[in-house]
Amino acid sequence: MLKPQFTTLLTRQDFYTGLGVISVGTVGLLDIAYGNWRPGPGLGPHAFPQLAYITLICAGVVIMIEAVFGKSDQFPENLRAVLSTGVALLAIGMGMFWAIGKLGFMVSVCITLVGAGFLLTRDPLRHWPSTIVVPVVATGVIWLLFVKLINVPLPRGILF
Amino acid sequence: MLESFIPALMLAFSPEVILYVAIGVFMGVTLGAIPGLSGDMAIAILLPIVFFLEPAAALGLLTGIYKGGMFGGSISAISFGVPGTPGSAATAIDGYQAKLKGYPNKALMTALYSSVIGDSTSDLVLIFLALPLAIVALTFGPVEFFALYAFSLLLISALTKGKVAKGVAMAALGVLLAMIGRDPMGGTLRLTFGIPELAGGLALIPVLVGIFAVSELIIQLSKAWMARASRIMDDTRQKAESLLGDYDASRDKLTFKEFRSTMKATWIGTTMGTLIGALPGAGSSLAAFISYGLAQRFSRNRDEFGKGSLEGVAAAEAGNSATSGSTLIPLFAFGIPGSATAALFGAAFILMGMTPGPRLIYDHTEVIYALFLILIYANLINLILSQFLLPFYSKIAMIQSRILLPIVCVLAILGTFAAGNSVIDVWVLLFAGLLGVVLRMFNFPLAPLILGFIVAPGAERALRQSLLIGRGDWMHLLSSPIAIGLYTVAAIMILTFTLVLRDKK
Repeated sequence: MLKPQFTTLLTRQDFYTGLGVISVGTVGLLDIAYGNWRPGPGLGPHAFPQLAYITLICAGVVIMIEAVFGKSDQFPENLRAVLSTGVALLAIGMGMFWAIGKLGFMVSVCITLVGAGFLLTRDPLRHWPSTIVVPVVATGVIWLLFVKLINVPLPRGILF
Repeated sequence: MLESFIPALMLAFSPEVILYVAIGVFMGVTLGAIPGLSGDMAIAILLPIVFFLEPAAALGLLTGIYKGGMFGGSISAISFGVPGTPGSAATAIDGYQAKLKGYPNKALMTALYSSVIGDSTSDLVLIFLALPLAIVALTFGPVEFFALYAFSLLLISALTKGKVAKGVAMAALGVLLAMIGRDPMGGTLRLTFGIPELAGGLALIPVLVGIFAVSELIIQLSKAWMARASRIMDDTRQKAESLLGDYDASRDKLTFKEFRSTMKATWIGTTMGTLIGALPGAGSSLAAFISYGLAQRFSRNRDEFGKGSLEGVAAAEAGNSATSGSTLIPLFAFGIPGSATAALFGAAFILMGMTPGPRLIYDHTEVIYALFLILIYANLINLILSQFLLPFYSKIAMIQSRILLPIVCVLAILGTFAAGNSVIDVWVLLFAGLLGVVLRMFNFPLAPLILGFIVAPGAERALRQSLLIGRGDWMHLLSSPIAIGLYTVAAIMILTFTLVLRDKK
C-alpha cells in the first residue's frame, strides 16, 4: 500500500512538473474568463481551448498526487548542456539563414557544416575526411537538391 | 472502385515510383542502423521535400524509409547490442547474444525474414480492414467523431510511455498549439499573444519536424558534444573488431531447418504486432516485448531465450515490424493517426492535399490503391536489397552520428523553409525543437502532443457542431450509444493496460 510522503515532496521533479502544468492551465482559464475572447458559434472560440486547459489542470493535479505518493521521474541529467546545445543550434540555424542572404548559399552552408564538424570532433584536423571533405560534399548535394532540383527561392548573397 | 485498380497498378509499378521506394528502403535501413537516427526522423526531415514530388512517388519514398527503418534498427541491435530504434530493443536481447556466440549473420537473416513476414501480414490486414472500417466511419455524426477523437487521444496518452497523466497533459498541449491563429468558425484571433505572424496559425511541418526531429537532434548533438556517443561507438567498434578475429563465416549461414524452427515465434510476433499496432499509442517496442514474452512462454526451448535464441530474435522482430501496417488502420479509417509514424504519414497526406479519414479512399482511390501495392512490394525490395547489402549495412551502422547530425539539421532548416517559403516557419521549427527538448528531458511523451496537434481542428469542429446541435448542452456529447461505447472502451483499455504495465514493472 502506497503512503503519502510529504517530507521529501519538494525534492521530487514531478511535484514541480505538476505545478507547472497546473499553472499553464490556470493562466489559460483566467485568460478565457477575463481576456478579450469574442462569442461565436458552438459556445464560441474558447470552448475547445477551455476543455484543453481543464484537462491540463486535471493532469497536473494527478501528476502532483503521484509525486506525493513517491511516484516521480528523476531530475533530468545534463539539462543545462542539452539546453545550451538547443540555444546554440537556434543561434547557428538563424545565423546560417541570415548568412545565406549575405554570403550566398554554398559558402554559408559549408561554413556551418565545417564549423559543426570541428566543434563535435576531438582532434578535427586528424579526422579531416569527416570534418572537411564530408561537409563540402554534403553542401554540394544539398545545393543540388534545393537549388537545382526543387528550385527553392532562397535569399541571394554576394558570393555563391 | 475496382476500375481504379488498373491505373493504380500502373502508378505503383511505374519505374519512378519503384526507384523512390528502393531509395527510401536504402535510406531507411541506413538511418535505422545508425544509433540515434531513425526512419521516423528521416520521414520527418523529408516531409517538406515530399511536397515537391508526385503523390505516389512521395508515398513510395516514405513507405520505403518506414519499412527500411523498421529493419535497420535491428542491425545495430544485433551487431553492437545498441538498438537503432526503440522498437528493436527486444531484438537486441537475443540478437547481440547470437552475435557474441559467433553467428551474427544467422541472427540478421532471421530478423530480416521475420520482419518481412510480420510487415507483409500487417499490410494485408490494413488493406482488407481499412475499407470496411471507413464505410462504418462514414455513418458517424459529430458526436461519434468527437468521441472517436477523444478515445484516440486518451488511448495514445495512456499507452505511449506508461504515465497516463503526462500523456494527457501532452495531448492537451498539442490541442492548444493547434488553436493558435484564426478560429475557423468565427474568424477571431486566438492565442496569438499580439504577434501578427501567428494569425495564420502554426504550420504543420515546422511543428512536426521541430518537436519530433529537431529535439532529438539537439539531444544527440549535445551527446556528441560531450563525446559520449563517439566513445560508445569507439568501444563497440573495438569490441566488434576483436570478435571478428575467430569468426567463421562458412558456419554462419541460416539453414532452412533453422528458419522453419523460428516460424512459430514469427507468427506469434506477427499476430501480436498486428493487434497491438492497431491500438493508438501502443507502439512497436511494446509489441516487440509482448511478442518476445509470449514466444518464450510457448517455446519448447524457452531456456535458450536471452542466450542467443533465433526464436527470440524472430518473435521480437516480427512483433516490431508487424505494427507497421496496422498502425495506419485508424488513419485510413477514421483520420486519426495511431502513432508518431502514422502522424507523419497523415501530415504527408495533408501536404499533398489529401485529407486523412474515411473519405480518403473514396476521394483518392488510385493513389491509395497504389499505396497499398507499394506497401506490399516495398517489403520485397527490402528483402532483396537487404540480402545483398547486409554485410555493408553492418559497417554503415559504425558511422558516427556526429558526422551526419549537422547535415540533418541543415536539411531540416532548409526543408522547412522550402515548404512554406517563410522565415517564421524556421523560427517555429527551432522553438518547437527547444520545446521538444524540454518535454523529452522531463519525460513527457511526444506522440500525444503530435496527435493532439493534428486531430485538434477536426475534434474542435466535431465538438462545436455537437454543441450547436445540442444547443450548448455538454451532455449532448453522451447522446449516442456509439460515443458512450467508445468512452467506456477507452476507460477499460486504459485501466487494463495501466494495470498490466504496472504488473510487468
